[in-house]
Amino acid sequence: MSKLLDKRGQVATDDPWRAAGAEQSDAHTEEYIFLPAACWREHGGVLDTDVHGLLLTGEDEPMALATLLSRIKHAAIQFPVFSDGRGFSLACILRGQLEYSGTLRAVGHIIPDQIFSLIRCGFDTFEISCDTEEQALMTFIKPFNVTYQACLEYPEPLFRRRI
Amino acid sequence: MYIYDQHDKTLLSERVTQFRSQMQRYLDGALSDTEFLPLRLQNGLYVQRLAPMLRINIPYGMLSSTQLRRLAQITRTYDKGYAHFTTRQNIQLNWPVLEEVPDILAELAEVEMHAIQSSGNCIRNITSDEMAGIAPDEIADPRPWCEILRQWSTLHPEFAFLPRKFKIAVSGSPADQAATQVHDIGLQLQKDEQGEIGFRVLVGGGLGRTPMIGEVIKEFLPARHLLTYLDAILRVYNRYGRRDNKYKARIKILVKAWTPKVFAERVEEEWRHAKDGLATLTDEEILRAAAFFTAPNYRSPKDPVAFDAMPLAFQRWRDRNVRAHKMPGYCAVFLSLKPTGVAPGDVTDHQLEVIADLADEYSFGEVRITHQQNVVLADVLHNDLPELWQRARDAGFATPNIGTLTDMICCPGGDFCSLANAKSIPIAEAVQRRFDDMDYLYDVGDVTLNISGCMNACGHHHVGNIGILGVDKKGEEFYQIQLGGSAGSDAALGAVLGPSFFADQVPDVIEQILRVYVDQRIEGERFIDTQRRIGIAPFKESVYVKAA
Repeated sequence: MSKLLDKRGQVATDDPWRAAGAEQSDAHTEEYIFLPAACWREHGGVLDTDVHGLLLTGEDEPMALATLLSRIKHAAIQFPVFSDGRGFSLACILRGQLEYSGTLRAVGHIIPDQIFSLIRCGFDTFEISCDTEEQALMTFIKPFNVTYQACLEYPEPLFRRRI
Repeated sequence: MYIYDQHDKTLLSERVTQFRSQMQRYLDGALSDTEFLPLRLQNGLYVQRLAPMLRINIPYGMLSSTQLRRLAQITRTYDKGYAHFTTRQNIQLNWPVLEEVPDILAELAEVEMHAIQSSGNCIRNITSDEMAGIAPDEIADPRPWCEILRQWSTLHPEFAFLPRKFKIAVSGSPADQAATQVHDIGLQLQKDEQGEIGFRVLVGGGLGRTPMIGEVIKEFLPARHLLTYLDAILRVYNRYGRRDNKYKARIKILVKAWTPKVFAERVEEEWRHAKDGLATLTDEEILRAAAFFTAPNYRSPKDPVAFDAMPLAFQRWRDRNVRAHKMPGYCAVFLSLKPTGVAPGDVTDHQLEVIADLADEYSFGEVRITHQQNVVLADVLHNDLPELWQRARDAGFATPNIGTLTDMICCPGGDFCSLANAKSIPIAEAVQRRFDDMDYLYDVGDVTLNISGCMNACGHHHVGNIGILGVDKKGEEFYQIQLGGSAGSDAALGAVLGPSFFADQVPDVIEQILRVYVDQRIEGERFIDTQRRIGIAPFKESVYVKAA
């Protein structure tokens, strides 16, 4: 059973959002759904950014979706398997280069040990497919108080902050 | 040497806590084998043929005597009293107990050592030249840059799940002892016309199943841009490197598929966004890093002692195992870990302690590990050589074979590794036993012999002047011979000599190859020069005619 976690470690029980399945051709008629870029291209005119989000995969070119990303409020990145790290780079591009400021969710297969890096790359909610107790999930939010690289919390890398 | 401050210490101690919890969850069944795999690999832990193997990082090959003594104690307490230096300047324990690995990591953290990213599909230990900071022809000391890269790559949030492993080497002198041309990224320190420090950047080198020499994608990268430019390379690779086939997942395959020119353009495009941003190195940070690698407190040399009265054995050792130093009156001494009958790169706990003592007494308490799996005392007073020679001899480190045939690079092979197709250590030993005549070795001179037990090429067989590759044919072990490889500034991949041999034929074949060289060489010519001049055909003819 998967859980939805936010970056404070809280488990959301009433979140209505979900990602459209690959075979779901009429997904755009539903609400609170993350839709693939192709679907936005086809039905963009009738979609509502309050209840329709963008679903990105490792194959998507975020720079080509810059206009769309500038107006949507909710996005999700699909991890086909937890060891496929493309989603980390996609998130960095969205947050860093495209200055996307809406919500960003990691969906698909991720493990709790990845949450800290996901947060640092700009995700704020995570679908975790594991049985870990809610209490224990808290320990994955911030296993480190020191990081060398810049991230959302510290926009400067450690070498600019060292004292 | 770099000294940890409270930030580095906190991070390392938190990493130990994290891994201890990951191990516990695995033992409790909360983490599956598949999920634990990348987590344990990113802490250097393999599950091998006979036991787990733990690979511990030695950043750019530098160790203090304190660290050496702690490693000795760890091999005694947690292993079988020995360890193995690798070709990427790391050290491996072959017999740790799975459950005790967190304790080993805690012990290592106390002496500012770790196993972070020593394996897995992430940025591995940054390697360098064992002559860093002391080579007479050095352009700049690579170690501050290696340390800056170690910190940048440690727990990098974006690059922990790359398509495949990623190796970076930095060299500071034109001789390129760091094998930068066969790394995923090779960085060669340069100075431009204004004297500004920067890097020539190569990508896509590597050995393994598809060996390739790296391609230059930037002739001169000013040093302050190092991290933003590397972030750009890694991001392009992370997004576009193949993930459908692990044998085609290294960056070299992407560079080849796109061509180096297109790859360089994609990196430039990516870099444009980050260039001059907050990850641009500051002068303060560059100076801070450099301050850890200043010259030790060299004594002004006394008049050099003449060694004429010393025995021939000493002269040979001095000739082979001692290298010139940029500081007058000082030299670098290589301790050979390749005596006959010992697996290349293996050291006992006691030997680790002797190395620590020698470092304290003769070389300011520090040593370097070489990618040829030997140990270097980098700052030895010339006048101390006779005494040090005696001490090294007593400990078994004075075999005068550095750079010769028996100074082989050899992977652990089928005796330990679950990937290997064939054993490699017994082949190394058979060659060492055949060529135990020091006069002959001395006459043959510089030649590199590299042995890998399978095509993953951990023994770097492609870049040995003579390369030996273990292959499996219908359950039987055979050995393919290659000639003409080199890992230095004249980097080249060897060519296959012909059909492979049984294990017991290998020493004969090597002997025949050397005979051709000795017959054909011109005065002063090294093996590789003769081989390049005359080609592979005379060797082939001689070896296979004799075999038939």
